[in-house]
Amino acid sequence: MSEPFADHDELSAYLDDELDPNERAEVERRLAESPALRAELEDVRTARDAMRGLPTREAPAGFWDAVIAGVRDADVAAGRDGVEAAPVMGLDARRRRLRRMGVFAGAAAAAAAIIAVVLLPGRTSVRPNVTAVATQHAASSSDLGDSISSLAPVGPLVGRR
Amino acid sequence: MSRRALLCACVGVLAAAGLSGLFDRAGADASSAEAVHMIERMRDAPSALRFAATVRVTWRDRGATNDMVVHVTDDMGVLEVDSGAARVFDRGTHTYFKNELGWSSALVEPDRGASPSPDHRWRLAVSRGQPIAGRPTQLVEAVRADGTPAQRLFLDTQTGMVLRREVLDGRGRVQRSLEFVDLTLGAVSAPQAPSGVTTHEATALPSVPSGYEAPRAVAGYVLVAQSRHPNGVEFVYSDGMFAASVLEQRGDLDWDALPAHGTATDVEGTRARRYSDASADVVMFEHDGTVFTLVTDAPPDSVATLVDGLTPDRGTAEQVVDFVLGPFGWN
Repeated sequence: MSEPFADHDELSAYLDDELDPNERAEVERRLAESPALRAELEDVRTARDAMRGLPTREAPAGFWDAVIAGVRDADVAAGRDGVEAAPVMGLDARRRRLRRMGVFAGAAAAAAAIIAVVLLPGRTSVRPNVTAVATQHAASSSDLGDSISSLAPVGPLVGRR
Repeated sequence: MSRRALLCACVGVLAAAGLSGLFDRAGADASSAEAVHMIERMRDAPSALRFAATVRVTWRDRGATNDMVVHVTDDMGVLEVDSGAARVFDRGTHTYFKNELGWSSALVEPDRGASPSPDHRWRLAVSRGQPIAGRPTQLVEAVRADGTPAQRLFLDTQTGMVLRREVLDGRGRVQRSLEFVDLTLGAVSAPQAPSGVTTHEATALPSVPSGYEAPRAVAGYVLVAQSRHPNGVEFVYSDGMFAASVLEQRGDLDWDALPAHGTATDVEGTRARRYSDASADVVMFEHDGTVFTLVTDAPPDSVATLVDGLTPDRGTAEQVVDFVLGPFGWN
């Protein structure tokens, strides 16, 4: 399948409302012209929503400072101290890029898992619990009818595992 | 006898027979209506009473009759059953069980649809019953079309509560029963709900999910509820007198992992494993990639018709869809 839109970051930024008005207008123009691009946008949206559904964890205090200090120390060790620093991405932008990379990695993993299941549709082995289903039936029957008739006979069952 | 006299005699006999049938029918209708009223009163009785009782429970399993005595305490619908080794606590839609591992909770089921009337499937008759636990009773019998009794309810004349219940097979043998040995009405020490037990709720389903078998009505039973359980989808049927729960799970039944005390059987051409316990029959079988666990307190002959009705042949297209979508849990 041809690649309708090479820059997934741009689509993700579009969804996050991070594009300037000109970039946004350009993306919308291409979306209007290309059904494939619209489908890709939906894929990105689905993967993004799935990732955002995951629980978040705050980095421990000082984590980002330690990362920056570590990079600086590495530069010093490599003799690049004093060399004009390369443009450094802001922390927020770095986190967004990491998150987008995570989105696509997650989407790729999900796709691989789905393909594996389609090609090798395994069957689940079912082991019903006799006592559990009988006691559940008695509990629900007591809601429908006479609780004495439903629950008095369950006593002998409950002791069984 | 003259021809005219003979004609009059015949007309008289026919009229008498017709009137007799009419009165019999009216009598049966009146008896059935009275029985329905008494059954409804029986179901409401525990919510209006306080009592402590000793109850003997019996059930047939693989040709042998088992029995056990339990103690029942009721405080206006808050019920506790104590069998010594185990306890049951019930209040409204919440039911808890205790065994040697501690307390656990039954799933809380969503609201059900209306059940049919108790005379929806059964012919009901009322007569005087024998005294149970020293108390006078009225007998309500549910009778099969062939005239054999399927259930006998001996109801306390004063309070309306059930004092003895018998479920009978098609040959008239008592399959399971409970009977009050003694009954003390009045103030009781109120059963206490267990604390710290986590309760989970089944999720109501608005319709039968694709890929599952659940006819609207089967063998006189009407589908009154469907809900998603953690391990499958449950359908509840009622014929107004008995209830049947059907838990359906996608996959293959692991026959070797089932408890040993069951009976390998063939129900209407379907391989099954059957367990007869004090409260119900449990029947497990497979059909089209789904494992069915049927639980019912109905007489044994109803089980066969239920199994047959739950396993209709399915179209090839449906089976293909299930095969493709089944592993994803989308159906």
